[in-house]
Amino acid sequence: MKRPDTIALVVGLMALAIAALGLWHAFGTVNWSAVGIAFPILLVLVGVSGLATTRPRS
Amino acid sequence: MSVTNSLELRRATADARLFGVCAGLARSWNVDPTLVRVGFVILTLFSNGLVFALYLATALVLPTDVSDEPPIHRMFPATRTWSTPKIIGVVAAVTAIVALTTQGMAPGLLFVMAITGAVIAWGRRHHRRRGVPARVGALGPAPSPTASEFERLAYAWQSRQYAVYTGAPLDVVEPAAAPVDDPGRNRPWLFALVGMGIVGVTAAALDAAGVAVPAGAWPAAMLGVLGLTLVWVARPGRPSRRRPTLMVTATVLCALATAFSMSDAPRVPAHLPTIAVSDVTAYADVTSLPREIKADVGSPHLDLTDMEITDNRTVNVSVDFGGVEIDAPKQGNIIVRYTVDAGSATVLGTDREGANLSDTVERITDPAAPTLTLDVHVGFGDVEVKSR
Repeated sequence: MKRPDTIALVVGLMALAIAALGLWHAFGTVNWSAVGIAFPILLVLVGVSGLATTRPRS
Repeated sequence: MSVTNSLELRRATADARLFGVCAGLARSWNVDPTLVRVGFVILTLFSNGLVFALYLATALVLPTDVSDEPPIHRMFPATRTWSTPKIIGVVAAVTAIVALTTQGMAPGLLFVMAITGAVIAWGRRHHRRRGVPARVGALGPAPSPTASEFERLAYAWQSRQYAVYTGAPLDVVEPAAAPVDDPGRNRPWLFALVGMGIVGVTAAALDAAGVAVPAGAWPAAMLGVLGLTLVWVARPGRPSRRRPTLMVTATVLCALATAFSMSDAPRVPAHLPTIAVSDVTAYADVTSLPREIKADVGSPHLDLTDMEITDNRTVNVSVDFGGVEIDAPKQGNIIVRYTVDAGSATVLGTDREGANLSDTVERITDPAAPTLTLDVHVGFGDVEVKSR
């Protein structure tokens, strides 16, 4: 089975998160305290998914 | 280098960072060693070092992949006649006794042990499901420059297998790169451009309908399209294995533009972690007692032993990581309201331990007299309020 492209996956997920934040800021009022909690968690999740996609396969 | 049976759990010396236990487990479970190391560090932090003790114990009983003799045999020759289960049992018992002696049977310890057991069970199941060749042979010499294409590709495959099962770095001959002619490579750009077009038409339609579209929405929408395209590109089964030209670069630039468009956003106030020193601070007068003591990290110690409570007073003490120690006034009314996210609370004779602790403890000697109220919050750590 072929592996996913980790760099594209990580950059794509981060781009989606920043885009969502940008749209939220453009059309509403951003709750920065919620962002301050959600973004670090998102970074960890994206990092873990990046690690998981690079694990060796038989 | 000889490579032994990879079905046995052994320490991996080739990829070892310390004793090779994590690398050996990763090889046995067929996962990335970094994942095991990250999990090990997290468990070590949350177990007050117990998992590190287990690591050392494991390093003691596991042989390496280049030797059949575990270190415990060299350190304690008398154990050479012991069976493997006996050695593991004795080492596990010693580790457990040390842990119980030094840390007590905390609920958090049980939780960590349960998580560790679950991880090991998962790893064993994962190992069985995926299957690992019973033996990985030593890697032969690299093919000569005149070797055929088949020999070169076969060697590349063998070296990959060798690297996966031994944890050795992959610095051997790689197969030739894919041909430059890759017609599917830039097809995702078509998807992205169509998406951007749809975004533009939608925005223009909204504008024509009288709905104001903020300037910051444009780069954010473009970034969203590029992000979706990249996630689509990342899928494992994509026919072209190459990333579309400059798509990552364009995405990063678009992300920067989006960030700049948000530059008028109210900033989160700069917040440097405050640290409370653990020196004892004595207060003899209730009016000199600050109404709020707050720290991100530390263990403030308030000595109120000689304080005379002449007025009603409420004091908020909050520490995220660390602890709070308060010597209560010898006389007078005192109310302690505490919350602890994870840790222990020893308050005026009561003793609790665990997560999400919260309680109110009172010592009212004269209901008509003024009362000192202590609101104590600790994120991770201990609350101790003692009365002498």
